[in-house]
Amino acid sequence: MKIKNLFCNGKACFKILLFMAILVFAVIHVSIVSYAKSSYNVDDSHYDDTEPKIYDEAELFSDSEEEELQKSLVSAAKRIKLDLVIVTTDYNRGKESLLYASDFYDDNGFGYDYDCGSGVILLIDMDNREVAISTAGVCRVYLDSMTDDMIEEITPYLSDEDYTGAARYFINKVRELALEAFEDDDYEEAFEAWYSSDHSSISAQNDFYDKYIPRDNFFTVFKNPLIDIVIGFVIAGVAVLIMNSTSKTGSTINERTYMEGGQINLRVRHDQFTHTTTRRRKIETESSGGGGGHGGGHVSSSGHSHGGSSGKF
Amino acid sequence: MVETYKCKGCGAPIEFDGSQGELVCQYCGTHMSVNEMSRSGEKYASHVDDETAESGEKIDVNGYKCQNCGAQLITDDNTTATVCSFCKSPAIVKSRLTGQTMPAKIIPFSITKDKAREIFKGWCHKGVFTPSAFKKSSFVESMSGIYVPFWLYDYNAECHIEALATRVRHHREGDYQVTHTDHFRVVREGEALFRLIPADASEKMPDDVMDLLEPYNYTGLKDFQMPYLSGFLSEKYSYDSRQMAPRVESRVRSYIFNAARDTITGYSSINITGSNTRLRRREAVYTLLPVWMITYRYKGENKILAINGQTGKQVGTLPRSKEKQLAWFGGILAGVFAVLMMLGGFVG
Repeated sequence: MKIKNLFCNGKACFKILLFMAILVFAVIHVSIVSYAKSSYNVDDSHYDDTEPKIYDEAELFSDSEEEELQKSLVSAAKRIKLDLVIVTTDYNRGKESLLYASDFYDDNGFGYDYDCGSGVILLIDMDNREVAISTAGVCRVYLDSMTDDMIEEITPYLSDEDYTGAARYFINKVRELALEAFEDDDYEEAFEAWYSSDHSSISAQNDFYDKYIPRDNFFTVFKNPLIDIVIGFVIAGVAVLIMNSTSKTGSTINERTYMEGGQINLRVRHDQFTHTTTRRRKIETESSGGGGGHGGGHVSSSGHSHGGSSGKF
Repeated sequence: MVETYKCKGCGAPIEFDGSQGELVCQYCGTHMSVNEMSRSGEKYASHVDDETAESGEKIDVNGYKCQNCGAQLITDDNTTATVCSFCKSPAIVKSRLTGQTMPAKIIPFSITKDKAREIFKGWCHKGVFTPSAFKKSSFVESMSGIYVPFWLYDYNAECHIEALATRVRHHREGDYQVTHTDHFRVVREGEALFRLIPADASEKMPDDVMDLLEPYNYTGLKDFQMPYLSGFLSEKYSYDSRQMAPRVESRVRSYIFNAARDTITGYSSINITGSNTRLRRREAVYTLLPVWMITYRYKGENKILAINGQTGKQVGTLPRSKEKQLAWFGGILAGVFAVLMMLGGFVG
């Protein structure tokens, strides 16, 4: 009844329309402003568009598919200022797929802005039946948190042996995420920092990663609503139990309340040592785990930090 | 035979006043000490001839008459002190307070009726889940002051405990963590005297509630004199000291065992391998202890709120409103959920 009245009432109706209109204008305004920020001064000179960006060692693509993919890799790269590379292999030299991808990227000196600079590489590892996406440079700021999801979405293509589909998905997804990031105020500072000074050295890159890649912390687990609701249940349950005790009373006596003198008179107090048993345990010296990459990623053989994820298909 | 103490000043029924420790006349303010009243009892108390109830005939409700107004007093087989439901005069069934059934000791009320009412009222406003209706209700008026019959037991207790105990030492030898465990055989034997452990001897009073009223302060223990009962309810014991003994003995056993075990200290683990306790009952004293009490029904359940009439300690469970519990649970759940989601969203 109330809702009906609200809409029948002309004045209220007008107010709602006005409010909606203001909201729409506000959204458009914000997006125009942020879009305007998306032009950064990027040096294109390092990027070589004649170089192959697809390395099909496992021969998963036909010549025409390879040609098509090469074209879209280059055109996407120019648009989003990231080097996009696809590599397939049927011999991974005993490396973890993610590390293989990172090493391949660094060994070939990919990177839109510098050697081993900004870019993403997709590895389809037929040896392990694994897929890996490794990130480097400025895009780690927004891609590192997305690679798990991308791997998850890409594996169905690979399980269906639709390798071209997987490759197309990869290119389109990275392109989409990069364009979104360019318009996102949250990343403005990072872009500004990356493009306004030289980040060709490992140390400069590492400093950048440490500063701008959002790292998982203690509170990240609370992003999961299921965990939150379980914690809520436990706390609320305990709190109610504790509050229950406000309506109840307990005992205030103990074994000494009625004891004359408050103490037992011991006639016998006998502690006889019988024997000793001995156990030796070797102390495990904790091996210092291989140094983690900056910004929560991993380090390639060349010493560059990368982000990324891998998964089985 | 029923006895009603009367004021020597004005002749009105006179009651024991806990705050004064004397009998005080509500009408003319005359004070009389318990001793004085007890001695001169003959003079001021009014007597009646034995009633039908005591002349052999068994009837459910004993036919005692109020000495003040002549109305029938509501009593049962155990009632020793009551108050006339019509004129509120105190009445004491003297014949049930003699011989075998005469209490040896008493702790008189020191919490007065007004004080008890105050405590109950404050109590009803405590308790987060106490139903609002309960807080408003005037059920406090239904409270009564009762001298509950107790047996106070003295026990000699002995305990012999044997245990295997260990003490653990760690040290480091090169790459090895070495753990030495020293084993001991431990024996403890000791005795203790337990004095005046109370056990509720009334059939009507729930034992668990009565246990929680402890401890009483035994410095207030007095020789029993009838005038203390004036104005309160009381009854004689329904279980004798032999019947209540097992209940107290299990308490004493655990007390002496715990006390003996607690003397085994300085070990990392203690494993009791055998124990033996011996008890010797020395004495059981028939004693009346003061309790203020409200009985009520909440959602079909009988509940008791009680106050120790000497110390003021409160015992019992306030009713809990399911709705209030649910509301708090839901509220806290929602609050925690919201805070965590925000933490996850902004900080995580």
